Amino acid sequence: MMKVETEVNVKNIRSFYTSLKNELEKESEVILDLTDTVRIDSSAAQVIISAMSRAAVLNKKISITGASPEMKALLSLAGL
Amino acid sequence: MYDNKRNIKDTADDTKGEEVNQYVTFLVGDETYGVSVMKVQSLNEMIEITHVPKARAFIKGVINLRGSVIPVIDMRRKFSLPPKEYDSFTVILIVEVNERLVGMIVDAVSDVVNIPLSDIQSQINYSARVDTSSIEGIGRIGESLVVLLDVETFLAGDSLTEG
Amino acid sequence: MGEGGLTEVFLNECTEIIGNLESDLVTLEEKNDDQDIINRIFRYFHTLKGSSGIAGFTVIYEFTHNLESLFDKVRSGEILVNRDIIDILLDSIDYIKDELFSDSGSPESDTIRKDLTDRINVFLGTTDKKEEEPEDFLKAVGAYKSVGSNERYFKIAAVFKEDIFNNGIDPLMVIEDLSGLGKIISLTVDKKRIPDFEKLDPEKCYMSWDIVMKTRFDEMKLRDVFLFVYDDNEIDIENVTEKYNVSKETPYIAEKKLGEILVEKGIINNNELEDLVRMQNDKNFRLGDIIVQKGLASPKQVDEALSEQDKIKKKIEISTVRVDSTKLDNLMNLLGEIVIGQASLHRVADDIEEEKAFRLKNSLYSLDRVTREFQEQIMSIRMVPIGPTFEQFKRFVRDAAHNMGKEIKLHIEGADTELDKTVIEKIGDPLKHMIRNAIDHGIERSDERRKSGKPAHGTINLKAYHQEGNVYIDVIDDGKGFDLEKVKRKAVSLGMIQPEEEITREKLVTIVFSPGFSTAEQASDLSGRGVGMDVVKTNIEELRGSVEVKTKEGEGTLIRIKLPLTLAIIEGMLVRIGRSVLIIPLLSVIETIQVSRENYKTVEGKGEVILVRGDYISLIRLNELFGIEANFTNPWEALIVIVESDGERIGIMIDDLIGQQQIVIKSLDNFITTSRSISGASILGDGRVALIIDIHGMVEEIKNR
Repeated sequence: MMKVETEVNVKNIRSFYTSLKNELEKESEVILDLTDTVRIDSSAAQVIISAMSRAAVLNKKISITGASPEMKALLSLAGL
Repeated sequence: MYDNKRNIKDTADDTKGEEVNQYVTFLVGDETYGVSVMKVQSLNEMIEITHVPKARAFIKGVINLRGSVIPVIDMRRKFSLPPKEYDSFTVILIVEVNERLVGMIVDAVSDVVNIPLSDIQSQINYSARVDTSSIEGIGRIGESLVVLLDVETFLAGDSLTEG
Repeated sequence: MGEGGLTEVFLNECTEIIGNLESDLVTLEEKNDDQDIINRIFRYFHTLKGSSGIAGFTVIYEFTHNLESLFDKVRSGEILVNRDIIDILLDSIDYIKDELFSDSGSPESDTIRKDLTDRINVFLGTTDKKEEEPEDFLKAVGAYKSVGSNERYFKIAAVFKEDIFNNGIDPLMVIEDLSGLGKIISLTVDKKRIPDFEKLDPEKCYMSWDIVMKTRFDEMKLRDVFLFVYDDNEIDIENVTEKYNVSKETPYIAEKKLGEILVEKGIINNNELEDLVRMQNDKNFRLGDIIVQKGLASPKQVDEALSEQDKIKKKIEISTVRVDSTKLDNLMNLLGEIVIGQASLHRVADDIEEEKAFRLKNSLYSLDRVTREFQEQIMSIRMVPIGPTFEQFKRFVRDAAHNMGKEIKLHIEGADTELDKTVIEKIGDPLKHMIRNAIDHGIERSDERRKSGKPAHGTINLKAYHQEGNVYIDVIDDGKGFDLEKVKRKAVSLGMIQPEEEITREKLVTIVFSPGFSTAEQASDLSGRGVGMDVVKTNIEELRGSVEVKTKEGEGTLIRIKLPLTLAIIEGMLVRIGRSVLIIPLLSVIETIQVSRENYKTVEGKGEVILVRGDYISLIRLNELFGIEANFTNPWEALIVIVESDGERIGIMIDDLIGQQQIVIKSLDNFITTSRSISGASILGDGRVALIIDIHGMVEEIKNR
């Protein structure tokens, strides 16, 4: 379970990327908890997309939980 | 007709040391006047002027300047001098005033001169035909004096700002 | 795009949005359940929010977010539209305008914002305790569906450049905005472009989208979403409506291709296809939808087939280009030069030997035709509808009427009427003056109106229409009309007329337009009517137009503005008087005649008249008016051009007729002359300047002599 910040964008993307990378290395399943998240931007979306592809290669799993309807809409626009 | 831009460039280079202003000097009656070269757009030979009814007294009419219709001012009328037949020396000096072009009919154009700032006297106790407020100063070239006109106030003062 | 550019684009966009918002909000106040308007307003607020975020106006971003939330409740029906809501929203718009456009940003702006936010929160709080984000966008856009025939389908391919984040732009936000314009049919993010997770540079952008969407908006609107990113990124928008929304004539052909593709791909078989096509013809459904509905193929497969269809089908695009209007002006000026050049070639043709001249003239005539067509095309680009100008007065009328404690409705007609863009730019202020007058002095208070048996609310009609090569704009109010007695008293007090002077109604009305009539008036209310009407008249005459007033006491006032269709080029008749060449606009010319000695008279009080087809008409000696010398001083020796002005015929004495040609109008700086008989000048083929006669102004000038 990885708690995602209120907002993920270019400004904090590096730390998000690093945490997700660490998480993916040690866990076989990463659940991104978006309960507190109100907004992500393209950079966050592409990190998640890329991480998911990587997870598939590693036979691991990344899933998303706690997304508000707004977030869900946004995620679907980001191809997630 | 000649282009003033090249002139500015050439002379600007060889007068680096001292601060000088450049003026186009011209004759109206027996007086020599100068207008800052920056204000002068071009010199045109006399061409046919179209009379405009009910025009202001000093406006001679309008001319075609490369596709634009611009007013021309008879400087003799402006200075209340008796009219004189236009001859081969008569020139229309095109100046820019408040972003508009205006032609000034002058008896002759004498030169483009560099006048060092030290030779320009801004304290004016000189009886000119012009209101002192539209005189930038009196320049000295050798022995002769030039009335340096501030065209903006000179032309804008009583006419161009109206309407 | 640099910072400045971005801000500028944003501010331009805001001006447009704010204008639309004001107009729509005022309309909404009247039709408070119009869903189309409500949805449109919501979109405006949303766009305003999004764009201010992108442009870095965070204060505005947050503020408009509140407005959006507030309006979302209006949309959902939780809050009913009433004057309070409209007031808050309009005040908020004023604040935004101030914040964005005033130079320094007023020191009170923070207080104003807080006040407004409080007022907004009252609405948000009392109606619903928990503060909500506007609902998700896909749901939100649900409000925009319906309307079958206006829907368009677009295929959007957006590939963003890697360093776009550096510009502070989030492509996802752009896509979000796009999705707000309609319904997303399919959306694919090209994941292949995103590098392996290990090698990913998270601060670079690798996102690209392929989207098919359904929308009621046009391509222009979609392109606007990409306004900030259009230049540096690969954005491709294609109208694919044809493929989705097939018209009745061609369903079979277009749809069969889709079917064929699916058959080729082995997704469905031929029998299934035939059934489907039959079904489609019966019910007029779209094949793609049926296939998906029947579970024969996934939406994705259909979309893929559709995009394949793209390649087969010819691209049909409605392409538009935004052009800087100065480029159009330059083009017009250049055309002007061409027209002048042609005129001078015609002169050359006059001087050469006959056979060659004949050939030259023939070529010139065909060239003239092309130039004329060319001119019409450019003119048509310059023409813009008056609608937005009219719309902006809705807000103005509402506020001004409220301030005066009056009830006034603004009714708009002919919003589609097109005028030259220069005219549009300059007509706003005079119109505002006239409307202001109608509100202040024309329309009565409700109680007063009721007493005289009128509806409680007054109406101002703004009406634009074309007629005989002119554009007319009428400002009509159903107020009390001019109080001509008051006008007369005031004119007397200003010394404009003598107390005992007998004066016609018409003359009294025109006094209102005289310079000086209105200036003394600002201080008091004894004026009756006429705030700066002379200014109005001058402004309109500068556009070569004229103003006419009809007023009936107790019933109302009509002010009619007449404007030329185009400003830049007219057909002119060249005439010679002595050595001068003058131009008479051909539109005013009826005929050219010679008059016999017997048909010429001098009439006491009327001056010189000539008998033309049974009527005596006034004769004008242009040479005297213009202070030039004419060859002929006897009317029976000269030629006479009969012109018409305001329904009245007048004869103008000339020496000779030169011909007619297109005239490029050059304006004369107005300090040059006080004469009203001249509307401008033009350059002749030989380079000389000829003055253009303003027939209307000339008649006025002579009458007032």
